[in-house]
Amino acid sequence: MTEEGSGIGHELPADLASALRADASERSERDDIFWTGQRARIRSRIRARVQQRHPMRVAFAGAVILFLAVLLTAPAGRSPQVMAPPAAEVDADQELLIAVERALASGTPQSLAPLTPFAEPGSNLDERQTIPHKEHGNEE
Amino acid sequence: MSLSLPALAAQSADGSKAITAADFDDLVCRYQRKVYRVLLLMLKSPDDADNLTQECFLRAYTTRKTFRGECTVQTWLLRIAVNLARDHVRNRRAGFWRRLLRLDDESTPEPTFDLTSPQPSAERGMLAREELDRVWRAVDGLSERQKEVFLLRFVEDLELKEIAAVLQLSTGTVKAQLFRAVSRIREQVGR
Repeated sequence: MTEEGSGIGHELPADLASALRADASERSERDDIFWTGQRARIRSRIRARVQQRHPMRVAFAGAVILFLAVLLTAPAGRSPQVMAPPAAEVDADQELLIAVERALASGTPQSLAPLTPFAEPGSNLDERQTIPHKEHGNEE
Repeated sequence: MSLSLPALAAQSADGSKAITAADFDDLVCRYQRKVYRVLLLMLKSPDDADNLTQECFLRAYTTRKTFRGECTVQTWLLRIAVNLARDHVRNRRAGFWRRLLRLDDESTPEPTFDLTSPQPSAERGMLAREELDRVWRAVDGLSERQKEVFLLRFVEDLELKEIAAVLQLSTGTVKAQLFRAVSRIREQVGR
């Protein structure tokens, strides 16, 4: 077994160790005024640190309050003016049907007017008279 | 006496609080001498030791909520003190090199506490003063780590396990460092 492993090498002679301890205590000994003063200085440093943190807390609390105020007063979601109405779904067939119905309701489409005398022999004179007029209009 | 924070908390009226201001005052009262002594022997400057003792308790106060009672309050405080001393020595060394590089002649050297200054003592009567002075000089020559281990063992009378907890080392490393430190001291003192 080595001296390091045995533990013998870890110790100083007892008289030397105790003298060393006593000497260290004596050298670090201070009067009560020093210890009381040190405690007072520790307290004042703690107080200063706490106060130093206080403005930070106030600022943080203010920021939180402001954020909450903005959150509560702001309208929820987008305003209706801004929001575009949802586009209606356009059915092509439906659109075509509506267009045809409108065309029928408004009479014969102009583009089909020249064919109407052939398609409808019994149609009225007014309609037939419009054809030359239209053709004439096109010639002009 | 080592007192754990939960024990201190139990002493207070509100057990849910980790430590109250009154408890903390008691803690300072109980450990300020020990912390100051360790710092003084490490730094050899009464002013620095006083300043870092205050800093140690301030740091303990601000980090008291992180203390989970895994070690004693004494171990916790000494760990803070040793870390502060290490930082201080590092800064002092860096400051020395900065001054040297700038060739700043105006800077005055920091006043240091002479551990070998003669003082009358009953204990000193037991041993020749020269022998004690030789020990302190030999302690000065130790590496930082060896010095920490040596002082915690022979001045603060801590167990190896406790020293390991303070310095955050394994017990084996503490043993090895202590062995080297003691060998060197014995060599210097001639015992």
